[in-house]
Amino acid sequence: MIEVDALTKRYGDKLAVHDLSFTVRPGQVTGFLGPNGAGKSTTMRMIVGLDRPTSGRATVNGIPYAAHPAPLRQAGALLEAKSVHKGRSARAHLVALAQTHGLPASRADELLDLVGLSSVAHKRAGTFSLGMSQRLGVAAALVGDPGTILLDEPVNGLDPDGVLWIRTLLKDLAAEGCTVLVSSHLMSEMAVTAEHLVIIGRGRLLADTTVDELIARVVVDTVVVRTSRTPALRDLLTGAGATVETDEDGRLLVGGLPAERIGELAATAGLPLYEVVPQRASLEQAYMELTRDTVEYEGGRS
Amino acid sequence: MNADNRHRVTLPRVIRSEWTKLRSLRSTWWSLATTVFITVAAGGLIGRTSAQAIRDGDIPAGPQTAIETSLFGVDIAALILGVYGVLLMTGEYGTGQIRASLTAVPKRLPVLWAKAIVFTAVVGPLMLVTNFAAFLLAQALAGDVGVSLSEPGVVRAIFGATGYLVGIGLLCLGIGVVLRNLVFAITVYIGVLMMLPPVLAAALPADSGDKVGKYTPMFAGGAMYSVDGGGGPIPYLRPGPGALVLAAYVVLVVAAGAVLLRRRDV
Repeated sequence: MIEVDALTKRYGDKLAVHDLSFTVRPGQVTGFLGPNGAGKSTTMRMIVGLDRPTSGRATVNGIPYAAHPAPLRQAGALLEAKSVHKGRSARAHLVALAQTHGLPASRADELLDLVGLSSVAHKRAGTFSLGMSQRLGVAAALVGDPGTILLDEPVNGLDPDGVLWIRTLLKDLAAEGCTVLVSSHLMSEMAVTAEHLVIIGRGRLLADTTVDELIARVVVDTVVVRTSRTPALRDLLTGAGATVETDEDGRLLVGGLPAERIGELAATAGLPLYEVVPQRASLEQAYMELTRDTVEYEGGRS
Repeated sequence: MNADNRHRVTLPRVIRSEWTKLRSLRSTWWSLATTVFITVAAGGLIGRTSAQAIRDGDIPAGPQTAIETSLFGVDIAALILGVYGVLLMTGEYGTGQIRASLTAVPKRLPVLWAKAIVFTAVVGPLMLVTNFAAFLLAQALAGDVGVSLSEPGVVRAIFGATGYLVGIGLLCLGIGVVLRNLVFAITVYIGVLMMLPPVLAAALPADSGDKVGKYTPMFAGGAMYSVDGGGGPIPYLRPGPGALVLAAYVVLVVAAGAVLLRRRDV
């Protein structure tokens, strides 16, 4: 369990994280979303004690991460893939981490096996591809077999195999009762892995919600309509006050009228309808809607 | 909580971890092997050459000359070990390893203490043996004008040279923690600590140059392996005070590094 309470981080006169509070619960994957520069990495670094909060606090299982006698047993973090000395072998890196907690060297071998790096255990980490580095970073995060795991943009730079591997791993960990916090700036990635979402923008909390709730929040009143008599229907609906666009397949995208009303109008006019589909907002749209005002480097901002 | 106590982070565990980290880098072996080779080779070569100069009456015989010539390589060793000391910490920052290291040991300071302890435990004995080897080789090659270990001040000077090297390495570890950046730290070490004192000693009026100069880390370190206060460009302190001055620098800089390491964001 991770609890973030009124966490604030100021760099000079810039607020990277502002009065942020949320809870990450065990047994599910929590997606930590926000545009680049929203403060996700800073927040994760504060949770594991790498950065000091300006005010507020973050705890792992009730107390600050650094206050645990065996911190790697409480939480593991993949913050950046390249968090390893280039000249050291993957195995030596993991052995050194395990030794800080009195764990045997065999723990390193187990982890290398788990992340699929056994064959390159003795190769220097500097020769690893980004995907291999990510796997090593995941292994490092799991050294203490922790109940909480934080991963910052873990699928960045991974090939499709690697992405699938990460998704499966996260879901498995959550299913075992782990607390999993995984950040991304891509809603599409979170849509397939996360059940719960914490969304931030410019260091502030925008939403602490489930995937379904988020979609329901954004109302998109567009109805896709297909007919054999496109021009006639367009005129009819425009006349009734709707906005009508045509998509590349010749379907009409109707705004401003509910599906029922469109059906009634068409029936009265004797126009055949082949398709009347109210659009649900995509998660992506919902996310864009939510973060529209907080995108850090938006073109044209004064 | 039970398992937590069993796997508690302790200083001995962090020392083991740092020992693994040290061993697992090729640069460690290269740096140490080079240091040993250069120290012994320089001692042998210069010991041999200077033996002829002693016979010709160009330089005086005796323990001061013997130490000065056979431990000629110690200054080169100081350069390599200093850079190595700087790398102990800046290497972690430069590669991002520091994030993994300090996530495992979020109290942070044990990492610094463990690095200092492992460095001392490795470099101390290694350089003690190396310095003895350099001296014995040089004196064997010097033949009839060679000096034995039983001459007064010789063994103490060899220990002093070893202490100097460990001290410089720790000082550089401290500089690395404070500055975090390899280039800055090496610039400070070579530019300020190694090059500046001789320049200052030459630039200031002889009297004040000497007075100030002998308290700089390099000349205080030089005093640690001088038999009679000679061997440097300026008159040295006595070995004991020299050692104390160098130790004071080490404590000061490492303590500053410890405070910053605790306080700063990684």
